[in-house]
Amino acid sequence: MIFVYRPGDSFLHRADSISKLVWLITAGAFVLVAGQWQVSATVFVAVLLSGIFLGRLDASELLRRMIPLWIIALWLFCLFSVLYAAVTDPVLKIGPLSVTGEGISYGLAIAFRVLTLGSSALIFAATTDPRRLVNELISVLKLPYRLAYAFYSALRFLPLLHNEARTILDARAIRGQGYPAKGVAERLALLRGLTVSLLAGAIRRVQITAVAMDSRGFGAYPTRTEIEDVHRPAGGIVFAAVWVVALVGYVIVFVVFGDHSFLRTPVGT
Amino acid sequence: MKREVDEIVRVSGLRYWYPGSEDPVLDGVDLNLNRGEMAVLIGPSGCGKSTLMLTLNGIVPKTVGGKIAGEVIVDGTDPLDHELAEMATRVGLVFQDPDSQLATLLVRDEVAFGLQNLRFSREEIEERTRWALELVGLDDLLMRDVFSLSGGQKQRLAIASVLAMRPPIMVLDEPTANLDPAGADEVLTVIGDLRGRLDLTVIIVEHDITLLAAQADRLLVMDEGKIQFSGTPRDVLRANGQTIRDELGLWIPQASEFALELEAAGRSIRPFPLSGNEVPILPVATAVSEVGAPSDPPPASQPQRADPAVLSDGVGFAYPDGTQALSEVSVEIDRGETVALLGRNGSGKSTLSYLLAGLRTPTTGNLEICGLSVTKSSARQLARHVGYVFQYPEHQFVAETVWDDLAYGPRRAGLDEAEVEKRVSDILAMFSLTGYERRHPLALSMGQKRRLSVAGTLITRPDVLILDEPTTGQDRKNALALLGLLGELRASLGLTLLIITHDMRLVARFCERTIVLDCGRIVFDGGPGALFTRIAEPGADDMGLRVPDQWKLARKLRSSGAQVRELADPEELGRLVAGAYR
Repeated sequence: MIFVYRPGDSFLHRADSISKLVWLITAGAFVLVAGQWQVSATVFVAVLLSGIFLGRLDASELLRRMIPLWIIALWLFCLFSVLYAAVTDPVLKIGPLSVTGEGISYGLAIAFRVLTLGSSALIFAATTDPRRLVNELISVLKLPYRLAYAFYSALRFLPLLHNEARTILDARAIRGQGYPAKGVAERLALLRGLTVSLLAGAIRRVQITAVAMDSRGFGAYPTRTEIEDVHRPAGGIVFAAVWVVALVGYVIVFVVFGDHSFLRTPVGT
Repeated sequence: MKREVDEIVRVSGLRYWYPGSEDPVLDGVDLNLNRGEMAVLIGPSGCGKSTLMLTLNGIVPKTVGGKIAGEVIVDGTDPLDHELAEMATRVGLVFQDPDSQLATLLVRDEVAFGLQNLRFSREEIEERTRWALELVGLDDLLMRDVFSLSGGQKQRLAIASVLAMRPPIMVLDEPTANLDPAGADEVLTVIGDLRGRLDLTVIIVEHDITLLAAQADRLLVMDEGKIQFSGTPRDVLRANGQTIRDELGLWIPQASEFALELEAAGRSIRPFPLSGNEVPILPVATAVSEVGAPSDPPPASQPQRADPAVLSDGVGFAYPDGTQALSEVSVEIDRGETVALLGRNGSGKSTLSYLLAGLRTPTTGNLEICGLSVTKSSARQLARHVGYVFQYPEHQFVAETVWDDLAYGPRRAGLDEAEVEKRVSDILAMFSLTGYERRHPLALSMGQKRRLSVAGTLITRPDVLILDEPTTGQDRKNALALLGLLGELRASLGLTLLIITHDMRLVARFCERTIVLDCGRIVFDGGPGALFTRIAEPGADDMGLRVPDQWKLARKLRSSGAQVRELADPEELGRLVAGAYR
């Protein structure tokens, strides 16, 4: 699992969850409004450096855990480079497919968007204690605690479901059902069976959890006693503020000074 | 008058229908419990035990829905007239699965969870959290992650989390079913200790009264939606033990089984025994030997090695994170042997069985199954020789009807459709599944699912069958039926059986050899009798295992000169002794 909390005592670990949520949203917004790949790449590098230096995450482990993101980014880069409807001459022609400089730029922008969105979420998860997140969502953002606990319970189930999925795959492999699966039909059969078994197990667990929570008065009152104080260190707030200011500055500069490239439609025309 | 004051649970004429069901699952339950009593509720699967317990705090029918009739009074209140939050302070519920019932990620948060919901002050939450954790012996783990706890610790935490709300009644639904003997002992010790310190009424739902018989004040036996028998465990087992065992198909203490055989022959043991320690030394030496006891199986430590089913030489396995799960495991298992793989949770049993099934590859050493190297063969090649029945049958169903699930293996093996049909029909009959061909496997009963998982594995006729906890959560009738079937197949097909289990009754009754693992190494390899002798020695390491009462009984009889088998089951011992008195 790539989205796992790693306990620590770094700047990002000490920062409050809400400031980090603001950072996460800002970084995402930055790459979504930025048209040029260079801007997206800069934001991506800034996110990675934040994780490595401010979150004290091991660089090699971070990059390794991003393997699924690298694969998706590469795939999207190839796809959008080819699909981009450019007016300039192609720099590369492979059969009926032609790749232009504009297409490559657009593909890179999309790839860096995905990498930024994924890596910032990964860094957020790695440096944010779920308990503190839930507490701050309830105390600071005034989110109804039943909703916040639904999210918390889902987090609790992830490792259990992960282990159960592994056991189910093993159990099916011993019956001869492919692991690794061969061919599309076998993969689909495996996926369908895995989903049904996991779902049956998850429903059973959720029912027990729901009864166990109800029997301890969960949801009986609109509010509940929170047992931890909310600490929001100034450093975390400043960190979020710097990102927000950078985003606002970027938007103003490019809107005011007339570069509207960030308003471009997904596949350029 | 005093009786009324002491009465804490009164259920009369209770009937309950699940939503959409025409037949009531509770069909006229009458039950009275006094404050401070400990009651154990047993009954066949699906008889309504858990449902009855959920009516005590109103979850049935308030959360579950359905229709209810009759009266339930708990601690002077009707759960239907009170909010669930209020009932939470009267009835605490602890469930079987330690993982599913915990709601948070930290020990302290888990205990505080209910108190936070009930809006206690921070100071009171802190005070009660420490108090509850101290009662269950987890006060030094206040800030621990719940995932890092053992199964026994998780159950103790679940108990603490309801104790913190100080309910006068605690209901535990099969609290030890998912635990190894060490974990089960932890939980039962805590329950016994709590009863001594608090005026707590405890109701435990179980499949098996054996471990709780000595502690319980009351045994309640439920069947077909009603309480059929109620009284002290001694009285109920003495008067109805045979019915409970033979007709309801439930486990009863082996010492009680022994005593029932004697009672049938007109001999009584007073008081009626609930454990092997309560059976006196009986003066039956000469007479029993005249009956002619069958001999024990020969010691299994030196089997023939001509063509072993399993050949393991210095096998080790380390997980990618570096955890060494197995070290220097060298063992040979002959074809046709029945071997119990034993040890504490985390001792390496499952890892070894996964290596044997080809689901993992050894990191060191050489491992061969039926002459095939596990390292050089694919999982698919090995699957032709090894079958694996997982603990939860649901995990290994691969099709959407019973028929297709059974046909899956033979079809993959390339058998023609006529042969597939013949094999499926035969195995359906053999495993009493005829008539269920079009059912979805997940829609079967627990016993049927277990039989289907074994049938689906055996239909490809493997040489080695690995079974993971085949009797866990099963009542006596289902467990013995499965073992009987496996015994027949072992005899007719020469099947090699490897059974991962904590159930020592199963080991004594069915296995000819035991291999005990501890910290990834084999620490014992020999017959069950030798194993029980070793762990019963005063001061010996019990290796996380529990000696079955039948062995203690046999030893007691042998010590008085009786020539009974060391591993004779309690009915056999009872019959032999009863015969000696005639």
